[in-house]
Amino acid sequence: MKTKLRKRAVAAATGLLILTAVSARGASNTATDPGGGGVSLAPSGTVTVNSSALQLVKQVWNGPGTLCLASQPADATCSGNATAVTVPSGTGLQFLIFVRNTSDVALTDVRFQDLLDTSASGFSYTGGSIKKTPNDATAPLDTDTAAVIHTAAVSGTAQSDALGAPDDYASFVGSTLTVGAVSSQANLSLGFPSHKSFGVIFSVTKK
Amino acid sequence: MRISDKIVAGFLLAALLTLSPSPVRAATNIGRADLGADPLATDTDFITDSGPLVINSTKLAVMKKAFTDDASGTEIVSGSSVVKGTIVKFMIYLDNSTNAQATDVRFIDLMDLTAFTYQANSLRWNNLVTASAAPVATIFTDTNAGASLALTDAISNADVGSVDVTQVPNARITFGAVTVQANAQVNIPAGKIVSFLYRARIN
Repeated sequence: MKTKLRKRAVAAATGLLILTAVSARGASNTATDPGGGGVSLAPSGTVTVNSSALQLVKQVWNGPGTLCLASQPADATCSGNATAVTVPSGTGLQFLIFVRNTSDVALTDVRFQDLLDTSASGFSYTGGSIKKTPNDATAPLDTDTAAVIHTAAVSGTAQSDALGAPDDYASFVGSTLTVGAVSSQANLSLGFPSHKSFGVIFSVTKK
Repeated sequence: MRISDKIVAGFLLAALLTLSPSPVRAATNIGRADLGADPLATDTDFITDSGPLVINSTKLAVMKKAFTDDASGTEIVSGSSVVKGTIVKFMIYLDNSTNAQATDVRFIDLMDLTAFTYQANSLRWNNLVTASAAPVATIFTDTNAGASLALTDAISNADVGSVDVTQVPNARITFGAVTVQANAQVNIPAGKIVSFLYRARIN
């Protein structure tokens, strides 16, 4: 009986942790009359502002881009929640990185950074392979599946590897991909509308 | 009973060459992001990072074995001596034990024309039936007949294999889109074994 109770307690605590991690955080504000003026003011009513942590998603797809092999966080539509995969050495792969803006306001100054493992057991980057989804009204929705976002990225706008002046939203220098105005490797500042998704895709070969 | 020269055994030994597989090599990747500032490695910022995405790779290994010229699947092991004039079956196979398709796999098999004579139109292959880790006997059975397909000797992309016996001193047998002797592309589905078989007479 004690063991069962302990298990229930652990399960409850775990559930609480998960809910805390994914739920929105609300803050309420009310403007009130401080008094002492010539006019008596009614309180404004409550303004509630919620916030939720956005989640960056990274996925690996096969070379032709027809199959999602693994995803972090896990995605049931991507090889049944796989977060790891084994491929033949020399296999071409695509990395898709995206974020869903589930909030009601546009995002500004979004910055991504991805350090590619280019060691002997890592990857070889395919030069000039970066593409991005639209980041305007035509961007995929925040409710779209990863497959839809993948398609939008594959058919999206190519980004040069070089930083340029900066010339576009992404770059790959050394073994680092950045998107947006990352200080050490700055591209154009990235923003995109509310309830849209933004993603970049690039190709590698697994060593 | 005539016993072949040692040189024949030597060629068989070469034919039975097995490449040792390499260990799995892993690479971990994390995508990081933030709003209005550079992403922090500690992930205490405003966008939750992706978590580690683990991608392992395995160097696939080609195997080659010889069998008697029948459907029994009797293997002629390395170092055996056989009678001159004997026809043997050679099987080349590769086990894609990974979770992903192996794409554009290319094979070259050079056959010493002084020691062997290729038996015309004896090529067969199979890449869909045999599951990863199947025993050699199963691979042989699946390739020797059953669901396997016959290939033409001709060099073309009509199928995945070809033989060029005009090459000297070694006849050249290729599978897949080998540049110097191109056939159709060979792909190996995840968790399957691709195998090829042909017959040759020992001179």
